[in-house]
Parts: sequence; structure tokens; C-alpha cells
Amino acid sequence: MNCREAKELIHGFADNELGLVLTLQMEHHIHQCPQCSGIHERLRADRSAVSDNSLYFRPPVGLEDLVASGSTASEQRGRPRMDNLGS
Amino acid sequence: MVLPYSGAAYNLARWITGNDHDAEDVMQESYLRALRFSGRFRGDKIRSWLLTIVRNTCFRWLRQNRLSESSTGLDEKLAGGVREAENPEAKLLAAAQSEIVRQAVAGLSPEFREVIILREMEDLSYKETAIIAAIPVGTVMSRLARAHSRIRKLLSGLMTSEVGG
Repeated sequence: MNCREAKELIHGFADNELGLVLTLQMEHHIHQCPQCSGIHERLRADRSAVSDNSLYFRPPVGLEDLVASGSTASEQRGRPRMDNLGS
Repeated sequence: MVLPYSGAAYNLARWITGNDHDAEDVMQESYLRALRFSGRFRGDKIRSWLLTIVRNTCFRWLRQNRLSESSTGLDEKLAGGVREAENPEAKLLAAAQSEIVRQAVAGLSPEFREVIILREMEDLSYKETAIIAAIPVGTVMSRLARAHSRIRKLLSGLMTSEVGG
């Protein structure tokens, strides 16, 4: 595998989306190639930054009960209901 | 009361609508629809099915409430760049970096934002993300690459400006 081929596959490799054979070929190439290794490290850092737990929005306390009750969050707040979404 | 996958559903709704109140309304509507259409569900991936409903409800909401949503809005004044939070100052900088990433993701258009949320936060496969977003796998890949490129550019610019003073 050369760098051109590796760069086409490197996003899928960073996302663990490649099959076994391509994964092994990519691992071998990245081990040998500092440039592609650097790109791979950067992609991993990107993904790590976005999957940071602090960016995950948690449902507010009580929302599950509210949803289960069938009354809308808007109605509870006295706002007009968001109508026609289901049409 | 525990609703199945309410965490993933709320996170997606909150990121796409951009605020708590509308995310809560989208949640309500989505679970009502899920209940209504549960008889049509075939398969074993309930989370993907539910997230598809949430995603579609979000985009109906966007169409009704925002004719176009800007993909700008990145705040370039915040600074960060330290990954290891080994001391209080580093913790503050790490928090600042998280905030920058948050703003960068929020600044993406909804179409790019949804693939980032589904792939990076929910850890869904390209294929599952493609099915939920109703786009080809190749489009998932190109949107992810472009979204990451934007986030990286923003972060590196901020880190450079921080070093420069």
C-alpha cells in the first residue's frame, strides 16, 4: 500500500470502518510512514475532541416522566404547543 | 420512568434544535410518533429506528421554524489547546477547548451536525448513520471529513493566537 491509497482509506481506518484485510494493510503502512502516521494521529485527536463527554447533552430531570405522561413540554411551560409535526 | 434511549434521543434533538425547550418538544413528539408507528417497526435496531424518528422530527421542526440556518457563528475569541488537565490552569484551558469544540459543532449546518452527533457521540457506524440521515455512506464520509476539517482549523487558529499572545 502506498500513501495515495492510504490517504483514501485513512478516515475509514480512524473510524474502524475497514474490513480486516484493509485494516491490517493500513496498520502496516502507518507503522512505516511518519506522514500518514501523523495524519492518523490528528484524525484520532479530532474524534476524541468531539466525542468528549462534556459535549453530550443530558435530558433534564423530569423530562422522561413528562414525555411518558403525554403532555407536552410546551404545555407544561404554558407555551403554545408545537403543532403539526406529526402530520 | 425510564424511556428507551432517551439520552441519545435528547442529545440529538438538543444539538439539532439548538435549545432545551425545542429539544424537549421534539422529544415529546418523537416518542408519540414512535408509539404510534411501533407496529411498523421491523428489525432489531430500536435505537437506530428511534433516532431516525427523532432526526426526522427535528428537521420537520427546522423547516417549520427556520427557513435557513446559518453555518456561521463560531466564536474565535475563546482560546484553548491543552489536552491534559494536570493542574487547575490546564483544567481551565481544557474546559475552554471543550467549549470551542462545542461552538464549532454548533456552528456547523444541521446536515453536518447530525452526522457528527450520530457518528462521534453515538458511535454509530457509517451505514447506520447513513440510514438515519437518509444519505449515501459516501456522503456521511465526506460530511464527517469536512466537519472535522472545520473544527480542526478553528482549534489550530485559536491555539496559534494563544501562543502569539
